[in-house]
Amino acid sequence: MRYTLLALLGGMGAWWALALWTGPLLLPSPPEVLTAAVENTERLLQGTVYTSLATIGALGIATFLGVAAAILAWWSPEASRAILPYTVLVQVVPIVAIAPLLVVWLGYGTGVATVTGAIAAFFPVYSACATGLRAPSQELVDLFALYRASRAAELRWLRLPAALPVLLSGLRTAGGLAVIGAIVGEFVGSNGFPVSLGYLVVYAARSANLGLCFAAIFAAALLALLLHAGIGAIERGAVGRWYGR
Amino acid sequence: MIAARALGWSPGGRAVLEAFDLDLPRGQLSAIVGRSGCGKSSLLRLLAGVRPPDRGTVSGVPSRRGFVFQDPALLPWRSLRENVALPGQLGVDTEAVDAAIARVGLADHADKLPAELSGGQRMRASLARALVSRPEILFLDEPFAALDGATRRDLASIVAALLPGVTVVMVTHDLADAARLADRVVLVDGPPLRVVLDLPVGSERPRAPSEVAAVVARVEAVGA
Repeated sequence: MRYTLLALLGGMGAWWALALWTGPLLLPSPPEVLTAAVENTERLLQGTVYTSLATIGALGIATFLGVAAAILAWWSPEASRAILPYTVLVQVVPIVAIAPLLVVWLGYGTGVATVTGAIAAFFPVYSACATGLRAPSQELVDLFALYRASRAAELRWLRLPAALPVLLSGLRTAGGLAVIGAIVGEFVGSNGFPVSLGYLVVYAARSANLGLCFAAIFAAALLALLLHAGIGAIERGAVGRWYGR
Repeated sequence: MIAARALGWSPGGRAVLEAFDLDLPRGQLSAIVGRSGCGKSSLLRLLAGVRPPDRGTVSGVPSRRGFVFQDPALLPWRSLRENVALPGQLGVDTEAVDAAIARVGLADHADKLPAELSGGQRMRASLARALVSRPEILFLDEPFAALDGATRRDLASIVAALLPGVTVVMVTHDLADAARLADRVVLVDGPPLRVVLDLPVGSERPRAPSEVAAVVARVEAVGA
């Protein structure tokens, strides 16, 4: 903890020194960022709320689709092979490239950010859930076979609960990616009505208001951090006890 | 009689069982003894019907079956009581869950999660889960391997008390355990699995140390 704090203070000191050397047009100093944040509190808050909504929506969609696809892949080897190209496609298509297309289809607003966030978050959720469904030991699988359990019963009583810890740790990764995806979506798909963090970053950079630009970036980082911590807390509360933690 | 005929099982192309035959009498405790990795645990799973053999048949196995694995294999998110209730939830006809828990001496721990139980208690819980379905046959895969002496004796006497109403098939690499408990000691080797010695042990339980030593000596004479 002490070293973390020292490293953070050292980083901030280095930043401050660099800012004094370059001047505020290239790099704003910490107090300048703070001033910009205070002057634009209302817009920053509004932006944070809208980007949060898009991120949470994106994470919800990614979780639903990711878990559904993982269950389908476990259920049937044929379905697993059919799903494979699409999961790879979702992972490799650059969201920056499809965001303009989404604007044509969905118009300006939170829709584009929600979709780009969901695309970014899908794969880690799917991959974690697919791994988790295969987590139960051979003994437990044998036990269910001994009692002639149906596949649905095996899924419900064994596979899904066993997948939960892996899924939650996948969701922590997915949370950060959903924020990135949403902000990339907002670069293209948000016109300032409503204000979003992605929009603020682009707008502030274009109008050479680097203080505001930094403040918006910090707000986005804070959002990702809170999401990470929140999912971590759920993880410890829900599944920590199972493993005696 | 439980009869395995011409059993063949080759997971991943490696022949664990090949044209394997075995007869085990019902109402007795048969101990299948052999070094680890010889395929005896695989045989137990094929006999229990947990996995289908590639070739051959198993007949004469009663339909109400219990299985205790080497690992307790409890669901970590369920309390002891909920774990023992699992067979009933899966549609198996069961006796009262709390009675089964009391039989293994864990009545005071029924609401604990597996992580809150000791290794010996987890193994007891696993036995309770096997007994709750009122099995006519009980399969035990190295059930006492990781236990301390007291728990070991305790579980062994619970298992011995089930005879002759319940058929027991126990796999172990501990020859002394087999000599203490079994009506029949089957020494195996492999893979592919083969029977080296099929030895009926006539005497009553509990057996004197000298009787146990005599059985151990007879099996070791063949095994070495």
